[in-house]
Amino acid sequence: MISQRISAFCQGYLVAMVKGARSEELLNRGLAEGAVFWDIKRKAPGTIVFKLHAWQFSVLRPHFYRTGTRGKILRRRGWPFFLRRVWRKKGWLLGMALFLSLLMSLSSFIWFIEVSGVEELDQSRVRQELTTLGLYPGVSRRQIKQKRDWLIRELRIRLPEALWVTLRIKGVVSEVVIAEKTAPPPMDEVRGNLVAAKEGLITSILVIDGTPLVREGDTVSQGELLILGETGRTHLDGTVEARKVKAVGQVRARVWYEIVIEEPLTVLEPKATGGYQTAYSFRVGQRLFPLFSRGKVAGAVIQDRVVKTIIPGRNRLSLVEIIKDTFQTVDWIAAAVPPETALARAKKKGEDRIGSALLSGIQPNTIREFWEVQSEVLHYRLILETEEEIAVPD
Amino acid sequence: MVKLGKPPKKARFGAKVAELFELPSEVVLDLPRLVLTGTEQLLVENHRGLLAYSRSEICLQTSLGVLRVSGEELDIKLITQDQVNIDGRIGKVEWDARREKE
Repeated sequence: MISQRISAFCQGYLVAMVKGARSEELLNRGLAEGAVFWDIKRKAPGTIVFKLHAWQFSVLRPHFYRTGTRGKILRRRGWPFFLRRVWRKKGWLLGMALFLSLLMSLSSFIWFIEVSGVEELDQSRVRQELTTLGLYPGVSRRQIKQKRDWLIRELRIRLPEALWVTLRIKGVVSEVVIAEKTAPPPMDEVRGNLVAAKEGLITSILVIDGTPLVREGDTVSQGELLILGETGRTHLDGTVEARKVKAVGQVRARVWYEIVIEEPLTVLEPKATGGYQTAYSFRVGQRLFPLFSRGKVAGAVIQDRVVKTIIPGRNRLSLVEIIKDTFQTVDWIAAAVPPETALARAKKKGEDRIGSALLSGIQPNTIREFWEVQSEVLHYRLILETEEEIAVPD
Repeated sequence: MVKLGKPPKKARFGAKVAELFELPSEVVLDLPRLVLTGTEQLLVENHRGLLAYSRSEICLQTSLGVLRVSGEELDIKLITQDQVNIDGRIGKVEWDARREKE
C-alpha cells in the first residue's frame, strides 16, 4: 500500500469526482482499461470521489459520455505537479535558492564558542587566548578543522593550569573542554615543636616523633616546650646526626581553673514615692514623634517602656511603632542582703560560669569551693581540676 | 442459507486436479479469495467488477456470483483489476443466490 502511495506521489496523481447514476460502471470500465483507483469515498448519492494516477484520467474520458457520468478533477497532487507549481513561481524559487545558499554559507562558519570544565581558570582568559590563536566567532569551520591539533597543543602551552584540552566542532558551535590540574594539598611543615597550652602537672606523655623534654610529674607553665621537633641518629663512627622532624605526641596534665565571684551584702532598692508620668510617642523609622503625656515627675525615676509595632517593616528604617513610657519617682534605699541569699546567688553564677571556663568536652574531676565575707562583700571562689591534653604546636 | 447450486462438471474436475496436485484452487478454478481482518478490513482478490457502492453496502461481481459486503462507513481503499481493499466496520459478508452463468 505504502509503495503504491509513494509511486503515485512520484508519478503524480489526481483527486477526481464523478457524478452520475452509473458511476460504478465508470470505475469498472476504468479497471478494465488498467486504471487503479484508491481512497474511494461516496460523498453523496451518485457522487464518488477517488484518486487515480494522472496519466490514467485520459483513459476515463471516453467513458464519461458512455456511462452518462460527469467527471471533474478536484486536485492535482504529487511531485510533477509540485515541480510545475514551483517552476511557475520564479520569485519564490529564487528566494528559496537564496535562503538555502545563505544557510549553507553561514553554516560554514563558527558562530559560538563554548568553554566548559573550567573552575579555577578564568573563562575570559581562555577566550582571549582562543582569539589570539585564531578561534573566534565568524572564523571559517574548515580553517579550524585543519588546525585543530595545533590549536589544542598551543592552548595547552598557553594555559599551564590546564591538564588536558580538547576541541570539538558541532555545527556552528565550537566546544572547548578543559580539564584543570589539581594542585596537591600543601605539605605539612617539616619542623615543629609541641608546647604547653596551659599550666599544669603532667600525668602522662606519649611521644610518637620528636624528643621529649618533660617527664610525668613535672609542672609546666604556659608556652613551655614539651616535645622538641628534632631526633638524633647515632652512626657507627659515634657521630650523632640531628634531624628536624615534626613533633607528634600526646601530653596529658592536671589543670586547675579558678572562678571568683563577688556578691555585695548591701544593695540599693527603689521605693516608689507616688510621682507618676505616662508618655506616648510614635516612631517611624529612625524618627521619634512625641504624642502626649500625662502627669509630671522630677528627681530620681524608674522607667518602664511598652512598645507596640504597627508595621514591622523589612528593615529598621521602615519600622512604625507606638511607644508607651511610664516614669515613677523613687527613693533609693539601702537594703541588707542575708549572707545565705548572697551565697546562693554566687553559687548560681559560679555554676553558670563553669561551662564557659572549660573547653567543650572537658569535665572537671573535682570542684572545690571557698567563701568569706570581707567589708560587706561575699567573696566566692571555685577551684576546678581537670585532666586534659595540653600539647599544641608552637 | 444461501444455496449456490451444484458446480458444473468442468469446475468439479478442476477442483479434483487442484486437490490432487496441491495447487491453489483460486488460481486453478478462478475463484475469488477473501481475507477478512477482524471486522475492519476485507481484501477480495480475483473479482470481476464493482456493482454497487454506498457507505453501508458494497456489491462485487465474482465468478461465484455477487459478493455483498454490508456494514458502516465502508470505504474502498484501493481497487485494481484484480483486487479490492475495503475498510470500515464490516458487519456481514454474504453471497447472493444467483450464480454467474458460465
